Amino acid sequence: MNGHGSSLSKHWSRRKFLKMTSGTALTAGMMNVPGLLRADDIKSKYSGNVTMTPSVCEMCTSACPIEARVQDGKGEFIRGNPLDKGRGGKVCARGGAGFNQLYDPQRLVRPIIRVGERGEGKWREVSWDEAYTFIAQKLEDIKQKYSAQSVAFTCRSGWTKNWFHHLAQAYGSNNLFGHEATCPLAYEMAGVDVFGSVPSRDYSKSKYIINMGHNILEGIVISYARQYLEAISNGAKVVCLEPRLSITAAKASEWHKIKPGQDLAFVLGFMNTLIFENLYDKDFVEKYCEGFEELKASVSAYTPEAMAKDCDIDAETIKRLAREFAKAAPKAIFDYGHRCGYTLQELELRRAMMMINALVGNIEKDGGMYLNKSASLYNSIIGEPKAPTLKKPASPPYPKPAFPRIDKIGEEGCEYYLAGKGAGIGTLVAPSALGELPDQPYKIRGWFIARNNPVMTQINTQKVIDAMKAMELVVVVDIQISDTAWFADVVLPDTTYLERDEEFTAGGGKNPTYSVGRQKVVEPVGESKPCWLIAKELGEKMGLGAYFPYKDIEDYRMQQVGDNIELIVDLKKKGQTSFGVPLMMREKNSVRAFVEKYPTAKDKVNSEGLMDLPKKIRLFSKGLEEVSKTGGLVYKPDTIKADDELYYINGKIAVRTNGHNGNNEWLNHLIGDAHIWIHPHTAEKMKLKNGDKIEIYNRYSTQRGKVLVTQGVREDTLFSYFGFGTISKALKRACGKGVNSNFLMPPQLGQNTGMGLNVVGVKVRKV
Amino acid sequence: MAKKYAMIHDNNLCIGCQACSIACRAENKIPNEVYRIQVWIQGPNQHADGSLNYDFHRQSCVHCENPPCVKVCPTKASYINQDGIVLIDKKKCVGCLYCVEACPYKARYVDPVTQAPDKCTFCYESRLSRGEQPACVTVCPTDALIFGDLNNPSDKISQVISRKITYQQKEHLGTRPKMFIVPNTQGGKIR
Amino acid sequence: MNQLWGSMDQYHQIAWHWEIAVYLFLAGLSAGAAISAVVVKKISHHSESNGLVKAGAVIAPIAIAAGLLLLIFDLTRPLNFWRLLVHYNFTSVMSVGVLALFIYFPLTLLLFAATFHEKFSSGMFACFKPIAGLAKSLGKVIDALVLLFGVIIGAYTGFLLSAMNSHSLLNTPVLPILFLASGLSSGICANIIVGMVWFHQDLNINEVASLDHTDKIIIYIELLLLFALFVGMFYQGQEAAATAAQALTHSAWAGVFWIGAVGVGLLLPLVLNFAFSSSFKSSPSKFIMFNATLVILGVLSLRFYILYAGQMFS
Repeated sequence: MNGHGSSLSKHWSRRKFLKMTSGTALTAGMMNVPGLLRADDIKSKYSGNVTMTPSVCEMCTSACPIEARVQDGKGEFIRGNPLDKGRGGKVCARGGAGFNQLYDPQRLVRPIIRVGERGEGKWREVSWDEAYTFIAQKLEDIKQKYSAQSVAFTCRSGWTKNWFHHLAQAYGSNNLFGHEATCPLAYEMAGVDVFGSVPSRDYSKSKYIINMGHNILEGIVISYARQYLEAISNGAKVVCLEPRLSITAAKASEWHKIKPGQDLAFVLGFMNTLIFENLYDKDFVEKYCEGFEELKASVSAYTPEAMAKDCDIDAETIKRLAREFAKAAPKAIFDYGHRCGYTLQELELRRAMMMINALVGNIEKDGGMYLNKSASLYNSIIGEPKAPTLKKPASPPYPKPAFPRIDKIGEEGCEYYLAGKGAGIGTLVAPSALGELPDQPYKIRGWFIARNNPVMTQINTQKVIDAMKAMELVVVVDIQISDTAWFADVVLPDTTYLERDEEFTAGGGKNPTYSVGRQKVVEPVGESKPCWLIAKELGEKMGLGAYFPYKDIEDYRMQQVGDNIELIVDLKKKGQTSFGVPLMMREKNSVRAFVEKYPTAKDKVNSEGLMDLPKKIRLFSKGLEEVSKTGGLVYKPDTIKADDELYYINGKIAVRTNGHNGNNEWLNHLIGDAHIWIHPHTAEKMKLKNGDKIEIYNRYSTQRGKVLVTQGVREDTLFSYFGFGTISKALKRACGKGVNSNFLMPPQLGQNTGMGLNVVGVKVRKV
Repeated sequence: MAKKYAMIHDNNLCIGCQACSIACRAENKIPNEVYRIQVWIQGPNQHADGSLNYDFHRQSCVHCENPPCVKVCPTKASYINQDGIVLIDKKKCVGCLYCVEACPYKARYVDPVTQAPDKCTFCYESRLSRGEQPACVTVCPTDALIFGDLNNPSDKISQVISRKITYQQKEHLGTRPKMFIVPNTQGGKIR
Repeated sequence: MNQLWGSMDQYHQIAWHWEIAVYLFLAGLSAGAAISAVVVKKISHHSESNGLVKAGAVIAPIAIAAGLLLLIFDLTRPLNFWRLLVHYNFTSVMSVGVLALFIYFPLTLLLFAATFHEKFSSGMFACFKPIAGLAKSLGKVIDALVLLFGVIIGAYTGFLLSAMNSHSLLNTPVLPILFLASGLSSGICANIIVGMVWFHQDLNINEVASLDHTDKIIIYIELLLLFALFVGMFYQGQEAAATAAQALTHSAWAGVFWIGAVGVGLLLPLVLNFAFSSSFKSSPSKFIMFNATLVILGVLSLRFYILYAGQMFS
């Protein structure tokens, strides 16, 4: 009795303690420096009931730590978490508009079921129970009629995947997808292939950065943007190669107007110079890389002279940049970019970019690149399990699917084998549903989409819509009736990130990091529910309750941390925490400090006082050689447009996130319609002036927009920002405004990546 | 000792992301159709060497030491407070809009709700009084804004102003703005 | 670069609208009418029974009262207007103007009362008799004050605008003199018209002609002032020069200036006077009245032009 009681009371008091610390983390962090302004000082100046809660932003996918202020139950102001060094307590325009999203009258807060045709916009409001029953019934029908695999599950990165990919596998589907194939997939694959995982870029200490359209200052990741400007302020040379003058390019030392879609030609010419002018770091390559000779052979023909014409950068410039870069190394970064889709040979491009870093030996060096030290890597270096790891609640094994996935990931010889299971080649869902994939034992018949917007973010928008219309079930979980939700059967209202608690997350930079995930800042509006609850309740409705062995998110979190109360308290109070000291394995001072702290790591230190890399870097890929004969680097010249066409490209804007928040009231007020950039010479030839209405068209689509005459773009290229031209009439502010880029893109998918292109040929006519 | 609040807008660090504008809107509850602050991205402008760049103009009140708006206000509704911040006492305002027209920086607009002129206050009422920095400075992702007290020599702003080249807009008008601009040297600068 | 920082409408808003243009016009006209009435009274032998004096005494208070009403209605917070009378700021031309108006407006009423003192001897306005009597007895003091404050009010409308260094078309010392001159011109013409219509039996046509002649001199002065205004801007530096060029060539307001203010208001009366001076003899009063109407329209156009172009181009 006594024992039982004490364990209960222990449990209870722990819960009570958690409740107490949750949501009002005001005294945290700055406490260790005496005399500074404390959150208490500020709180006491507010009238009424004020809370300041550390959490994580979700206006884009960068997941910046934030601190949200709530006064008398109403969300008021969001800033970056002041305890976060990397982002300096800062937040971008999108992040600042979080509460505006939460209180938006155009937000969906009750489940709806379609009553008209798909895309007709006729709905009825239903109870959660009716929605769950409807979905569970349909999923069961599809399972009986075809197979569970006929339902594809596409989720937003991170948290959302955790819940619904789990539900998917419990249900019996292995067709798991994310946004990757429309955005970063190729560089992620390249990172896995070359380094075993994607390394990070140490911009701030770099002296020379080559950037090929990684739009750090408009597709803002705050930590990158800060580091980038820090490097520039400290005199780093930045060379930008992109077809238009982005803000990033405008801050660079040099801007080269590379021909759209021809980046690979430049990169290969650059690499050829590094190798054949003997500019690479021979010791590093010998010690830490494999396959150098094969790589050398494969790029021997790609001289700068041979590549210059294709990429429209002259051979001398290519060589000069390679020499300057090698000279600055190892404090030099060849940025492997972010949003991919420049070429159908995207994997070659990103691998080549990754390899250049290895060739100059900047790995684990300040101002170069470093391997991300998750708890497991960190612990393996220490030699003891010091850094805490998060556990997942145990759940029953998943049923084994009868057939391979539509992208065949996990099968022998799969073209896409480098993609993670959760990433998947999402661009294949539509072709599969329309029966276009060769030798397919089944078609996709149902699509469960959580916080992803393929109608806007996948190429060939019309095909995606046609596929959805051909399906038997389309379920969308979102905070609004997105372009994708517009064609759904059921739309379930997710909470916004400020209304929910989520599971803790663990990651790693130079040392292991941990995040609270998200903390509830205000109570949910309407009947919206967080994804963890939707997955659990829907799972229970489907008879899969055993897969969700936790009472609520608090219970889940406690199963994650086990007995590590310190961690849970830290995370709730500060929003984030890290473990140990930063480690750069090839920097003497860093290694010395690390070993001082963790003497058990002494045996990892080599004769130079450094640590060896845990894995060989692959400059030749045996895997790719097997599946597609592309173990080395292969260049296939590609004509993207006809002679009488112009290139059309798109890019990021700082005040809107791709397919996500174009309808946000505040952000939409900043820019509702994005004009199409056109060079003055081209405009003159076509007799176009600022503000003229034009149509840009090709055989895939016709899009309308207004002209912006600017020198900031190549003469043969049109540019507009991505994330405009919303289809959903429920998003009243954004609907129909601007160019919807993906309607125009060609249907081809890249080799080994399945990624579409973000560049295409178009013609222009005046309206 | 009275303070002399001032701000630096560093064109080299500014990226025109409008985080300042949104933070201001949230903190000061600005009606949707008007702005206390915008950052205008101007250009591309061509340098002598042919390279192109953008300039970033912070459009907001510059808090003149000799403010025309205060001079022309017939009822002293516009005033400069002890800390050098130009403010509006809405109770006293009759809405003649003399200040709106007299401001050489077009910093004032008519608030559609109160029908009185409004403008940037360095968040005097919403944040400074609580010991916080203005909203725009608090969120600026690239630290392009520095705010502080020029009467305090150890304040960061005093140090940066004595170290970096800055200018004030329309100095020739004798308004003595307390918004200091670090001119853009990005682009065209071969390092 | 795309305009991604939101609407810029607030920077293109015109703060002062037609009400203010009409107010500026009416204030100048009132001052001009009062000044010319007092001057005529001094130099004429008919004293206050002169039709031109009577016209001025009527016009001055009515015009300024109408103007003040417009001024109040143009405030965005009109119910707060009384604060203008309670709080003063002596660096504000507007505040000083309020103070001047506070004195000027009663003065015009006293001028009216003095001029028409016999009308108050009986009937429904008999209650004002003592005031009228007092005004009559203080006639000379009132005349002197009306003259002084007339000049102040006439010039103040110009200072009101020229005090703003935000707009180079306005921020010029020429403006107060130009407004005073054109106000005087419009006042003279208003007195002529009202005098000829309502008080023609008290008119001496030779005095009218000489007043008309004075007005022509003022027109020459106005032309010189306008010339000085724009030439001055041309040499004030690139910004002001560009504003001048814009203001003279852009938008409908350039038309209002060239056709209305300069064409109809200044050149046409001069040309007509020159070309038809012989036919002037046959029907002098109608001709003078027509000419006077042109001048008034011109002055109104000038106020509209300066106010709108001044705010738009800076």
